[in-house]
Amino acid sequence: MNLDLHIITKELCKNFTLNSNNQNVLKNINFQSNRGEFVSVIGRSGSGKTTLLKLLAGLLNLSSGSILINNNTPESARNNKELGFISQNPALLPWYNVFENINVALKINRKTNQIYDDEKIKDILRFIKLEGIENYYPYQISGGMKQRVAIARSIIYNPDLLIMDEPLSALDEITREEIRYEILGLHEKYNPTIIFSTHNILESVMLSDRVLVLSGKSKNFIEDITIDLPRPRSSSLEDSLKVSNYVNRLKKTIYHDR
Amino acid sequence: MLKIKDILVDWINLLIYPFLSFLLIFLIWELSVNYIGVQKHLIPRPSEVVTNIFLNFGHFFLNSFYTFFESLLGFILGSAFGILLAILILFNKNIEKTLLPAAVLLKVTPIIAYAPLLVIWFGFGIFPKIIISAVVVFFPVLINTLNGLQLVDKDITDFFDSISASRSEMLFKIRIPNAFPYIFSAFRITLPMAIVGATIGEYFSGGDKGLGSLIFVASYGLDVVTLFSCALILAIISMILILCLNHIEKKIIKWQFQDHS
Repeated sequence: MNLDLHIITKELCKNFTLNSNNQNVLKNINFQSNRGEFVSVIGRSGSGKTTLLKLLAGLLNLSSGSILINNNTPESARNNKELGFISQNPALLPWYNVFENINVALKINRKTNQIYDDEKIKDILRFIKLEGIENYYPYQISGGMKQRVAIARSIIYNPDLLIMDEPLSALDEITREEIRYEILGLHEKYNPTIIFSTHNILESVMLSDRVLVLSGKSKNFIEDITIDLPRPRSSSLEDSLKVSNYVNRLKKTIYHDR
Repeated sequence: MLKIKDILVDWINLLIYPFLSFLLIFLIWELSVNYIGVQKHLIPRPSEVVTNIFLNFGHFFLNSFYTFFESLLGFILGSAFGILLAILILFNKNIEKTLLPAAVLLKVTPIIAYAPLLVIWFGFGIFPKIIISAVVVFFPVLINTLNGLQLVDKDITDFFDSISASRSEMLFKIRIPNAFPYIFSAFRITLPMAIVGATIGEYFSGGDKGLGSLIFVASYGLDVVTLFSCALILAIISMILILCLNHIEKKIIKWQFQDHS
């Protein structure tokens, strides 16, 4: 077995029952990801991206097949705080300030015996450009800042897998671009495996090592592209021909998936 | 010192408009009784009611204290049971199936139907009044607390599930704080209901202690001045308690009041 493999899914299927109709959302998904890899999942609305990410995070039960994270189940990864889950909605606790919202992730499930201190929170706040707003409450900060806090909350306990379900989709274009490159910086600094879903094709190309296209029709991946771009990446790369070719290829794939 | 001044200014701002509206109502009422010819044995002048309260201040104060005390104890007891049962239901759905129908039955039965029974069973002391008060408070607190405990944003529960938060961590760090606004909503409804419950309990005890007992005696003597005095005092007690509750609510769940700041 390849020791660098972090995530392995085998014949993964997920069905939902709606009005006594059994609906197939994901069918026989076989997918592997190496440790430290940045993988984006793109596809049309309703193609099953969120379902796939929630299955990987152990937040939904499989209908059949298997998922291995660090050669163990997603439940085990959750119990050991080996994964972080970030959704579109920052989902901060309104009764806690920014510092407490991050700190609560350390206080919960302490049995992992990891040691954290306030200095580490301050370091992450500095890294994600939130320094000076530690005492603010979620209602006092912007949507972009809230999403930064959600990201900080998910990396504070050092998970080696980050699952990000359209984390930037509710943000304006400028903030989205800023946070996009902060996520890249975070990946370079902490080097977790990242599974990232998005509707933005350019974003998926700029961030990832691999982009997977999930089809709502076949309920499986219809494209798996390795993004051969140098790291570290910056916004200047967005206008390059290579990026443009990747974007066009992915666009065509998604367009024909109807 | 500045803080006390700020609180005082807050309270004055809060009270000035209701005070002015009451003053206007009292003025129209007073003039109506004096000049339109409303019969004084049916509706007394407000000045007469206020004078009556001041002349018998000790008497009214003592009875008001009983009613207030019984209501408060009933409110605390009913709320505590409501919140506790909501937490138990959250952890075990079978408790909901077993106890909720009984709680609904208690809720839909008019208080007037079981209040005399409680007085017969538990005697003429303070206990039946507290129980009646607690019973009327219990159900709305139970239902609202349950809603607050259950209706947590799915993305919040997803995040905390992703780090395997235990049930008790979810309860104390997420579900209970999430339920605070729902619980305070229930309190705003049930606090005046607690006073009504205690007053009804006193009424059925007949001429013992409390404003309900004064109402009982005064109604037999057709003493409309005392009846109006009791009604006015009960309204004032309810208002003061609601104002205190609003103040506490704004301190405890400040995020609810600052969404647009």
